[in-house]
Amino acid sequence: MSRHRNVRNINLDDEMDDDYDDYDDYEDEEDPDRQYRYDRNSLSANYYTYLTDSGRNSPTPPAPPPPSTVSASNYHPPVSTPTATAPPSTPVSTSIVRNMTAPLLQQNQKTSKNVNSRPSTPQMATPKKVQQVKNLQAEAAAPSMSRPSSEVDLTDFRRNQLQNIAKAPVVPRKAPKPPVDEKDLINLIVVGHVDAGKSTLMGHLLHDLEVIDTRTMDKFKHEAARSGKASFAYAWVLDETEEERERGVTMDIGRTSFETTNRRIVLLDAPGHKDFISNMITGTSQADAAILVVNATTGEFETGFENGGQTKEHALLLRSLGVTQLVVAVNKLDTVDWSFDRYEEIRNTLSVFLTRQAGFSKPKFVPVSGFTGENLVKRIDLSWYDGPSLLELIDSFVASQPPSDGPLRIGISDVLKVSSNQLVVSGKVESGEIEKDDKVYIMPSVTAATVKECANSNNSKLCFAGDYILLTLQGTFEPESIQTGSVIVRSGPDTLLPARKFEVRLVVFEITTPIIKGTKTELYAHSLCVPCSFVKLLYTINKSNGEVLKQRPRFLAKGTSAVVEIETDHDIAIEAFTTCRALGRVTFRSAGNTIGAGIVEKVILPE
Amino acid sequence: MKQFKRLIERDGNGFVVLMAEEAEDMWHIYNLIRVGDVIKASTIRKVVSETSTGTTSSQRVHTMLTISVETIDFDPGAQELHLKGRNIEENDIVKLGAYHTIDIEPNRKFTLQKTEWDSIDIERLNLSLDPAQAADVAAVVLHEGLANVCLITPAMTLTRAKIDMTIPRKRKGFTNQHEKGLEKFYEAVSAAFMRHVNLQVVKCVIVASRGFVKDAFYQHLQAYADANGKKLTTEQKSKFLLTHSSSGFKHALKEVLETPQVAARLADTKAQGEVKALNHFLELLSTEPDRAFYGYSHVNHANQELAIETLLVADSLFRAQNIETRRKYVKLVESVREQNGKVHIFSSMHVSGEQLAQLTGCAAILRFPMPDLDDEPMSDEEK
Repeated sequence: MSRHRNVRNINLDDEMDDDYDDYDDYEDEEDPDRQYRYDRNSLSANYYTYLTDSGRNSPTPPAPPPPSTVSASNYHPPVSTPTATAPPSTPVSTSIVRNMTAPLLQQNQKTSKNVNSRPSTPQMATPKKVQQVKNLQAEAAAPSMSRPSSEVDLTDFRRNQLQNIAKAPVVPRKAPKPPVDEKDLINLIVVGHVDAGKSTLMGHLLHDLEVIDTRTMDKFKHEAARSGKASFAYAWVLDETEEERERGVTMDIGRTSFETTNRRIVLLDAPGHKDFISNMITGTSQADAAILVVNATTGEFETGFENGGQTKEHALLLRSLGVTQLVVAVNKLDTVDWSFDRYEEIRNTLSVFLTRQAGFSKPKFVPVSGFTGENLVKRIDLSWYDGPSLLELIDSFVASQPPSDGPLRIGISDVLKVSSNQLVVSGKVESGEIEKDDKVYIMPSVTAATVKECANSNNSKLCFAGDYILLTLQGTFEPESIQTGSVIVRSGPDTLLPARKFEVRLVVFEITTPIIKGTKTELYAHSLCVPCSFVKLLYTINKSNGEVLKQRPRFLAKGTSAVVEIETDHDIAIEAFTTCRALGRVTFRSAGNTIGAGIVEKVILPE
Repeated sequence: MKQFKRLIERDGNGFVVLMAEEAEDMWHIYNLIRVGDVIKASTIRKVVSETSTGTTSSQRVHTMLTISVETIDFDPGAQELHLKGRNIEENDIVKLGAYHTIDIEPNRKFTLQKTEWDSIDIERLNLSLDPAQAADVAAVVLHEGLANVCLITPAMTLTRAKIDMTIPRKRKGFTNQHEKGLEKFYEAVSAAFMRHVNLQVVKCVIVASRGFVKDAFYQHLQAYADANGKKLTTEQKSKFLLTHSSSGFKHALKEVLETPQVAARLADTKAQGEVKALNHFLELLSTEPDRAFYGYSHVNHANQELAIETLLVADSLFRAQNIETRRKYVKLVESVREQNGKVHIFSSMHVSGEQLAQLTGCAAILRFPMPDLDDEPMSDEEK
């Protein structure tokens, strides 16, 4: 860790000059082995001390803290003190100050620890006692047992830190209401079986709406034809990476935005391949409405819909992730000569499934052709169809989420840049609002940060629930400590406390091997994906009336509803469904199949 | 493992002289030694002697220590076993009753004495002496941003390296960040792989991922090896086996070991047999729940009815500090064997064993359905 800090000091000047470039330099300085030796669990206590020292002192003037703020009761990061809302004068000056004063502060703390009464550092009186007791026990155990005892200290410290954050007074809201005159924002996800033509359909739509100019499109067409994939030209609008283009498969969410007459649309193009469902879940967790694309070509619809196809799984995932508005785009109808019979056949099969099994109330259907571009923007002239075009349907989506008054929650879906003092992330604001100079915390790593910049797709500086935003944060960041699935919160009583154990009410999907105690699965919640295991099967419930059927079932077979207790390897940031809907929805997957979905009933915090 | 001498009486009292040769053997030894056993091994101790004039001189002396084990600590990564206990044989240097720690490592001879060698012990001892055991298999499971480099030996799955990196997602107009991130990730995994896997020794290398990550990684690995002057030979390349897994988490290894492609290649390692047995159990649980039970009280009850066809037990139960607990399970195993039932003792160092351990560590497949058993309460500890 000390080496780490030295590196940072050496680079300090560079960092101040150009925050964006230093990341690479910084990486080069490092021992290459460090990358795989790094273990997130074993952040040293030293690091935590350093982190909070700087976190506590950086925004406000450092060195001997003014007596007014040192009183034992409100000794928490100034992020929460009302006096600290004033922004730092310039980022440059604070970072210099912080680096110079960090050691001094630590000394200071040693002498004045009784005043602070913060049981964090190993020199402190109380933890030392604990440690001694531990050591006595360890004496009887083994020499290598000494390491865990220091980890115990760390968790103690972490817990205190979390308590302080939770105890902090609420920061008064500045602008609780978003501007109303704007067009409604819709996060729209496009899903469907692989090769149903999702990317092509959306690419063509974007082209027709002139979001993509003809020149770029011509370039794509030309390049696609040259590499022998002429039919993929429109998909290239959204499939941007080389690998995706080369293989002709969308692998990660493609994101773009456009406007219709009445709506502002953020379009998420999901991958259809079975292997990339995890990415699809991440995208869906941010969506309000969905387009399910099915391939009308003879035989293709059937492969996508029958067992093994993703049409069903995607539809079920949409529903369990809280998407209720659905349009089914029956694509590639040009390959079957716009046959009415085929359209009706698909419509009937799907509506039965979507309404009965998946539980969508009124799915709408629209015949389209993504490649030739019929019925995308302009209505199609068909003898058997005189309904709206795809764009008109998109325009009719309702913003499902009324601007929330809840506490700030931003699920980080992508970490774009990390350097030691700056972090660029993107994510969706699930509730609350955020603007420049806000003081926030990143859970579960409990990292304090200040918002340096934030912008949504509309380039507005004040971002509200529902916005997909790009955030630049300032603070002290450990590389790899902030990952997709972290959540940005504010201090105060309604902050989010990370935990490892949760009580979950879930519905078990079609599975071959039942869920038993100890089953290991992957847990998906907002943008998070972590391994977890079912530690207790509490009771099964009757789906229709919620009655408890059986206490302590031995296993959960397909189709059952139950309440279970799950445990993850590390602390994660999810919370009860009643507190925040978006952070309370969970999906379980195992061996490439979705085995269940549900909601978090209760967060079980450690004693 | 090498055995130099074995003298075990009818009543189970006796000793063996052993020497571990590899990591695998250390695991067996760890499972053999229990609190109360007597270990005799040579160690080095620093002896400080004082002359009549008061000057001191210290020497390092080889000496034989005999201790009665009180605590056992196993470090699978370092292949070391630390045994602590009271000295029970006095010699020139060490007093009777003094606490000492003996470290057992590969290639160090030691004597293990027990007052009671039970059938499980003897079985494990014989197993560890069997030289015909299959060699190691290396496995890399990965997805974008996460990789586990593991070594699978018959009794253990050792995670040699875990690489966890954030890779920026693709974003409109900034795709090169994503590609750069991936590149760095593959580089790190390749470096870890070359460092931890000896391609001369391993029998087979499994690379498993979803999508195209495995292919990209394999290509990168070849390029990396080439650039570092360790170009993969054709023979080494033939050891690689690219297969599908749903994620890069360690528990995905279980599904990798299940795929027929891998199964054929690994023939019949213990890990594979365990996965098969556990899967059978899970299948029955969904199709014929009255024939699959877990938890000691249920299983023991089924055993009394002579109903057990296959018994699955986690070896962690036999390492129990409580002698009664161990005896309870030994008795169960012996009685199932008497009835011609099959017994699988799962290694808790494997992914399947980890799962079984979560499932109370004890499960059984029955010969005939016992629906009444379901109504019986499980004992408290099993809840």
